[in-house]
Amino acid sequence: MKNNISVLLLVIAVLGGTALRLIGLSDSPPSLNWDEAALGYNAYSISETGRDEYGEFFPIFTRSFDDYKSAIPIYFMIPSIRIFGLNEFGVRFPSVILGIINIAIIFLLVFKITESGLAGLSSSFALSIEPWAVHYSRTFHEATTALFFFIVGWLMFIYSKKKNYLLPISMFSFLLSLYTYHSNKLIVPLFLGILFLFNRRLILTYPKKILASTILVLVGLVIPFIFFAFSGQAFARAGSTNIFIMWQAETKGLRNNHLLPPIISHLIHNDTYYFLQAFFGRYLSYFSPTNLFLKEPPENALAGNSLFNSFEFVGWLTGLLIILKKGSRLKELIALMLISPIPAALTWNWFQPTRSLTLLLVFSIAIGIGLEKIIRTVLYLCQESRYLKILLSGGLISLLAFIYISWAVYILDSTLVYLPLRDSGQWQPGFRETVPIIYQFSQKYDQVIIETPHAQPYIFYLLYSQYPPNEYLKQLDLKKIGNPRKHYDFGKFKFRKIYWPEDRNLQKTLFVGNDFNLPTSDIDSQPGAKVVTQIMGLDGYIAAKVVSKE
Amino acid sequence: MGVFSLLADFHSFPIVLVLFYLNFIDVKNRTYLKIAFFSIGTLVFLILPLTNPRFTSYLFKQSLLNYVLPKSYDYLLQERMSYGQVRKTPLIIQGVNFSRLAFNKPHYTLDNTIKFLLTTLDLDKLSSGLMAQSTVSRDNNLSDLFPKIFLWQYPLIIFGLLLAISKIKNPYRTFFFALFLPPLFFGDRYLIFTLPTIALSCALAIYTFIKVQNHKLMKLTISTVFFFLMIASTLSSLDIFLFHWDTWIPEQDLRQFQIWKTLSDKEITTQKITVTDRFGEPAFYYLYYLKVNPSDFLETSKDIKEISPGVQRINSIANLYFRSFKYYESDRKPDQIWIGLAGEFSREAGSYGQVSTVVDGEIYKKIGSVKSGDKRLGDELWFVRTVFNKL
Repeated sequence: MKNNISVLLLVIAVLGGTALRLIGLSDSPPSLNWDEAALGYNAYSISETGRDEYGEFFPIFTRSFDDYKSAIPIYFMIPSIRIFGLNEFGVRFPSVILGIINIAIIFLLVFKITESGLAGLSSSFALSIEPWAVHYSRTFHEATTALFFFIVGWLMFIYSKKKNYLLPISMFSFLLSLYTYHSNKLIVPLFLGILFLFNRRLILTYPKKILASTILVLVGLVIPFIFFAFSGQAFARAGSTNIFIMWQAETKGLRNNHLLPPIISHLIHNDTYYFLQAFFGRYLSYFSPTNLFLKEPPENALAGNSLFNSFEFVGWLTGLLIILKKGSRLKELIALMLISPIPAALTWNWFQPTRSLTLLLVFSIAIGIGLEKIIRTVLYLCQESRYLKILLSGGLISLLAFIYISWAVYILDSTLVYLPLRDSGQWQPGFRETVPIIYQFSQKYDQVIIETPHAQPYIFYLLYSQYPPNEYLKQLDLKKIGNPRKHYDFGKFKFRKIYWPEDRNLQKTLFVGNDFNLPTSDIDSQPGAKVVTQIMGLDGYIAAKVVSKE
Repeated sequence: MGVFSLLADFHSFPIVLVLFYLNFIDVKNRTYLKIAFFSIGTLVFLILPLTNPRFTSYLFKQSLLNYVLPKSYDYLLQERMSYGQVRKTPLIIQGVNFSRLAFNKPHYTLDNTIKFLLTTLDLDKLSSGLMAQSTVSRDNNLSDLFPKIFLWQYPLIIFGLLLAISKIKNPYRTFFFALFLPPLFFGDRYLIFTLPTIALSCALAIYTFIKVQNHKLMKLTISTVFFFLMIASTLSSLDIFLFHWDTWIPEQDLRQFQIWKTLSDKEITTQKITVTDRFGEPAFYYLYYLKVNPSDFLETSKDIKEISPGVQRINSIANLYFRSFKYYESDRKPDQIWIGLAGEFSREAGSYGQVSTVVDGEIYKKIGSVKSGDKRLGDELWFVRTVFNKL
């Protein structure tokens, strides 16, 4: 394919992907989620004070909800928040940018791996409209940033075979990925080992200076990581999500209630066998076509879409067969495909795509390779006849154009219309609408009591009120909040259950709750109490009821 | 054999068609009489059943066609279009609705066709509810929890199928893969047809693994590993099958079994009993578990209604009534038995576990962990005997 046509098509893919990622970014998903809010406020806090919400000076890992998130995505977010402000757009914009860059990078990556521009373009077009890629670009998640560093690292590694000086940059990028997201803490070391194993002879021929600087980068970043691992920060999340809670989960029940002797019962329902089964079941679920192309993933994230578009299944299957057939040429890709689900399979969730974004990227590459094969096969079949070639290639281009536009519009509609209507409840609705109003009212009262049906709503109050970080840090008492954190109050804001029969006696207090804990009839009969305002949510129901008690 | 296969299950007709084709190739150098015999024979057995409109309608409903024709998705398409009218969308510009680019028949036909074919490849569903979980909790597709394929077999099956492409020669290869056609045309319920292919793929993979090893020790080790996997999986499944059937039996079968084993013969013959129909049709379970004499059944079952063309429903047999109910609004008499979900007796949603009495009755048995599919109805099956306080 001619270079200028390739560039033009790549630009179309990037523009298409940009539109899907950028249009209506502030409104869909309808509100920030917990993690986005936490990362956003910490970015705001660091940009204002140099410290995170716990007072840590330019941290590498931030404590957040005791899950010790990587702070690297936070630093990515700072410029965006400075430019666009502390709001949905400011928080999500860096993710959009990374998602768009990924469309271009995947072209280069597939082009380098397969030496086919058409395969690269197919992957780029696929990635630009894949529901998983659109979703993870429209929300800010550490996994997206980690994926970006991972792809850059791999691409730089491939390029370093000709331009050796790129090797340290590649390692740096890989290690940033390792720092950024939990799954990559396992995938990156494994993949680096594989890359070294497959390319050891070539790497050892690199100039010594480059090898030395690469080792320096590796040591310089791995040693602090080991320190963080021992301090419990780097692997804090693994403690609460690991698969080991499944140990004996099935077998205990099965061994009871029958007459077999215990030793036979233990042999038949063997703990290790069942545990391995639990692991491999999870591992294989990431390869199940129905999970990838048919079902909606957990948590209603994609509103009517599965991770991949159904039409991509044909390309996926063809691509996988080609990858397996070309085993020795694409061994790095095969290895990455095999190791990518391991971290996700080591957690108790059955299928959690966020933990296996690297695998989804490999599948996007496979889809590109498969689509390329299909296109080439059709063109090959009609090479004998000029008219047939014009007819078939015209038909094929029309079909592909229809599929691309149709599915792109479908995803756009799912994102902008269907998601806010059907799944706004999954996105902590109401905080964006209520907090600025409550913050405004709060000036006249001594305290604001906020009913807490969910954990940690404090972060939304910090974010949507743009609470001055300096002020927050002054009030911060690490001993009082405890570890794990139990206390979330700050300034006038108190987060607890409202019990009206007792709380109605409080003076100069603002209550934020709902119809159940602030019943209108009781409030009307209480002297000094009145409903200040009721804030409606996107779904048409009352998102918050604000009651004042003078 | 093809004819017998068709007679046994018409869903095998894609395989029979392939068989016919293979035979045709085979006999093309033979006499025209044979070709005519095979052609007419197969066509007769294909066309004859299709002359029955009820049968063709049934077949149509079961097949891929039912999912790809507009009537199966038209309402979804309209629903999604209507959302765009409700919510402000940039896809509608100056009266031009660009969402039509996505909500159109070619899009939905292509989408539904691929999705129908994909239902066959649900690895979670194929393995077992005990081994696998559903991707999303709202899926209710794991009702039949008994293992079908062991997880460790998946890589072997995939490897075996890839091997089969090169190792098995035609026409056997065509037939080998033709066994996948019924589930592709009629959905995952007909995966049973692929059993020989799956077994052979597995065997081919294991055989190849062992054969390619140069050392006897490796051959022995691999054989032993597979042997242990097979023995462990089989024994474990057998034990689940024989002793833990409550973990895999479909919900409604289990609950009906519990209902009819709880009621005594005396109660059934002497008392008026109302059984909820929220777990399938209780009448058939009653007839089966109580071994009711068919002539008695025909005499006592007066209340049979046709609910849709060709489908009848038994509402009562003798003093047994089968319907869902609201106990608290029903006409109650002393010494009746009512069997239903907690929510059919009480309005205490969310705290059914703490309820021990109901109006004019005593709960004499509760069965927990029932999957009712409706949170308001709770997860307990109650057996209530009406007791009226004597004034």
